[in-house]
Amino acid sequence: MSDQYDAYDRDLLNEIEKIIANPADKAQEPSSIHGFSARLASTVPQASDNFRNNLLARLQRELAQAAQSEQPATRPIGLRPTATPQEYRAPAVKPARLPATTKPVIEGLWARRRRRFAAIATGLVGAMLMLALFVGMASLLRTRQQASHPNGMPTITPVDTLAQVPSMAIIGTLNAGPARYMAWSPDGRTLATAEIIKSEYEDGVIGAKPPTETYKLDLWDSATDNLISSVSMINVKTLVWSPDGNILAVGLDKNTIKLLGNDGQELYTLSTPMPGERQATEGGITWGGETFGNAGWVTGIAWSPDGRALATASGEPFTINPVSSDGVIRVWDPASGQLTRSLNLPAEKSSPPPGVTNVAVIPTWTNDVTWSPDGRMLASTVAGAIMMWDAATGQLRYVFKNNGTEDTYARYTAWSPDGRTLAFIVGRSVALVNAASGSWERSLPEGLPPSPLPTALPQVPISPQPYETPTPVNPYDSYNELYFLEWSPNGQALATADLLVIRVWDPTTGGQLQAMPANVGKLAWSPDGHVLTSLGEHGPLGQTGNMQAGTVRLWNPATGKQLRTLMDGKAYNFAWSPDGRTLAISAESGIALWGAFNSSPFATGTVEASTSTALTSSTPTEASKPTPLTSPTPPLGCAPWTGMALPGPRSPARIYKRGSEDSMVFEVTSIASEPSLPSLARTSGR
Amino acid sequence: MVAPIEPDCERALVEDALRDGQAFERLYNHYFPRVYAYVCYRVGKAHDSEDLTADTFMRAVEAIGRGRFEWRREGSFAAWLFRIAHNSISDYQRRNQRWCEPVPLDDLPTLRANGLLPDDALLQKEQFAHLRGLLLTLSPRRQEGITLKFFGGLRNSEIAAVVGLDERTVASHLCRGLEDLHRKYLEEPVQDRD
Repeated sequence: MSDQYDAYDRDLLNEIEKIIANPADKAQEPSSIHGFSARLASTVPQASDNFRNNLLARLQRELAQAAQSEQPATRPIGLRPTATPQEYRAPAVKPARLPATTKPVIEGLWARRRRRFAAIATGLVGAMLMLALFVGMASLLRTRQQASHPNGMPTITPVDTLAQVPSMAIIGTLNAGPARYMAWSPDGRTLATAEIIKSEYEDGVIGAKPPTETYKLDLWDSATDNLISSVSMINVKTLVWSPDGNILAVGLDKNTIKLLGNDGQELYTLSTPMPGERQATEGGITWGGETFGNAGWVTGIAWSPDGRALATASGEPFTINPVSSDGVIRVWDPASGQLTRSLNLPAEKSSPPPGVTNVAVIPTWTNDVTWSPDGRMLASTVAGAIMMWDAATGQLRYVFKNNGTEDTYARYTAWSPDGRTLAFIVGRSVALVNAASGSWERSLPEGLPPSPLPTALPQVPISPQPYETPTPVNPYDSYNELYFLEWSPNGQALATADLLVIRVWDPTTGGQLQAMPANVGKLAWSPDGHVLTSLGEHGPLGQTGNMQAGTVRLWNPATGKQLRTLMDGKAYNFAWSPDGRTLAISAESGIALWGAFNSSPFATGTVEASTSTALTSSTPTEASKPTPLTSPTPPLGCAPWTGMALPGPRSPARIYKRGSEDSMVFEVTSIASEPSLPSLARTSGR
Repeated sequence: MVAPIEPDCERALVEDALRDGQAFERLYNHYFPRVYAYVCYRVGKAHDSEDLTADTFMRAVEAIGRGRFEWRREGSFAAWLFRIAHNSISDYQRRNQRWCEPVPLDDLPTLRANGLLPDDALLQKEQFAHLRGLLLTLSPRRQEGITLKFFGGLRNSEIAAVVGLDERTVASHLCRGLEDLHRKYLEEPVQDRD
């Protein structure tokens, strides 16, 4: 029976092909399926010649502009294994970086995307007109009142103008599940996402050990929103792109890293055996008679700025079973897949992480590594101390360690964009040290470290989910344990966040510029530095806790005002595109691509004219008019947001980092000056 | 229906499109009518169809300009291009919850004259609206398969690449979908007034 159906289908399909090729050949009698097919195939919509020709002309202009900006062929630096030259894609059609002059093409696309919202805009324009008029009048009134204030109030105060408020609209969606990890390639061409498709607890017991999570790792073409590739991986822990966007490093468990090409093809698997006395078994790591499933998480990956080296750190973040790391920072050659250097402390200097009592001796542990912007230094968190290594020689240069108590530590290294300062979290404050001399510069806020520590340190238990009861009386009055630390792209500001307050600091004076109350699970600057983005209330921070959806909030770091909330209570993670024009937010229903505009993409000249009287900065009245499809004028409204004090170059690519789940107090007590490894015993003082 | 371009020739045309305006124009002339017709059946409104068609080609041109040739792996430029259109339409339908409602006659696209349709433009539009209305009663997979086949002019393997199914399933969707559509058409034929 099935064969008969197959034969019938085959005949029908063959007939359909003929009919589609020439429907006029077939009788149009619709009582037969062939006649009906001919009628269907002849009912073909046709565009007007005007539209067709105008579109062709516009496309050819875009192509001509792209052709002009095409770079000479250069092979990306040692990024493909020589063993498989046939896989290498011709670089002539694939410049290593997006040339600046291809911008018109993208802007042209942007204009087209914005146009897709014309229908939505119609309903919004009226409301926006009213809002703009109201805000404009209110701002004008406020400015006048301040100007005439008898007590010498400043006549110019930071005012959130409409020009500073980004307008956001969904410009596309990716058909994916809620991605836990998201990473744009630095060239903006590819978005990598990883979502959990299966989570299984060993022996079916929830909570005893971390579950084994199966991820679907997708690569998306940002130009077309097409899925480039999709692969399945177990226990993904981090995604980091190479600086040229050609290789994606995926940190997994069991000290394993996979390198994927930007077409999704696997290039190398980098792996080292689990350390020391422990032995790898089928189900995980055996140590002290206990098996730890999916241990050895590679949570720290850093590419050197030139893309020629890859540093990795593995070890659980002080949570359930932080016993599988050997504390070694490993440096790999991504072109050959070979291990080139191991940076490690002597094993006898190890100390158990706080809260772990079921083992006697634990090697040092690490979960964080960052490369200085000039590529000369590596910073890592090892056993609660900050280590700075000479990347060229592997020599340990400086150690910033705790005061000798085993339950305090520093973590979360972040280099200033100019590479002169290394910042790291020390309990409730941030320490800034001079990268060249290793000298301590200041702490934020001043007065916490290096002030004396409390004599009796609170014995705070390690909690896998510290977010559930963050209820301070007044967040502005108290400094809580910090979890996030992000330099602004130009290095002139530093944003920190505990679970309750986002603060913006001036790193040169140590002054606090702004404080914004918000539950934070992730913090990031927009690439142009004009907007600070937070995700709460839970975000992707928890490595062992369940993912929980939160709200993405956009803040003006200059005024401390909240500009927008997006995906209220539905967002799992977010990632700014490197050009700052797209904010990808993952949610249950898929990944939404939000476009950012300096004013409403739907605003009319009337809106602009009515608000411009209240703006402190001049706003071009033509800037927001929709660009007609066939207009040769460049798309507008995509210029960087104006009126802000924090412009600057893009920060080095770092997708996101996690804070640890402790709540300890720490003090920098010892700074070693260029010690060699043998002298470390003295400097570490254990 | 435009005669197909040989795969090797098509590959060369796409690779030359960045520098050779004529190569691109040939590709455009080949694919524009198919993309537009496919989008019209999926969207219904002429104005929105123009927007989505333009968006599809702009995305494709941007990818070509940036040296992205992901279609090579799929082996078909047509499948790659129609997947862009498919993505754009999916976004459009997510944003416009009323996309499947009947479209006013004024908003319907005009049809290609081929001697088989009534001369009256209004009747042509009614026929299009009727067929599209019947199509919308099918399952999304069948709608997609039939529109990509009849108006996108894709091979079954290319349809499979666009919608993410295997070729055999696509063939089944096509046959069953066409039978279903035909049955519904016979139950509710369009009124020929010519």
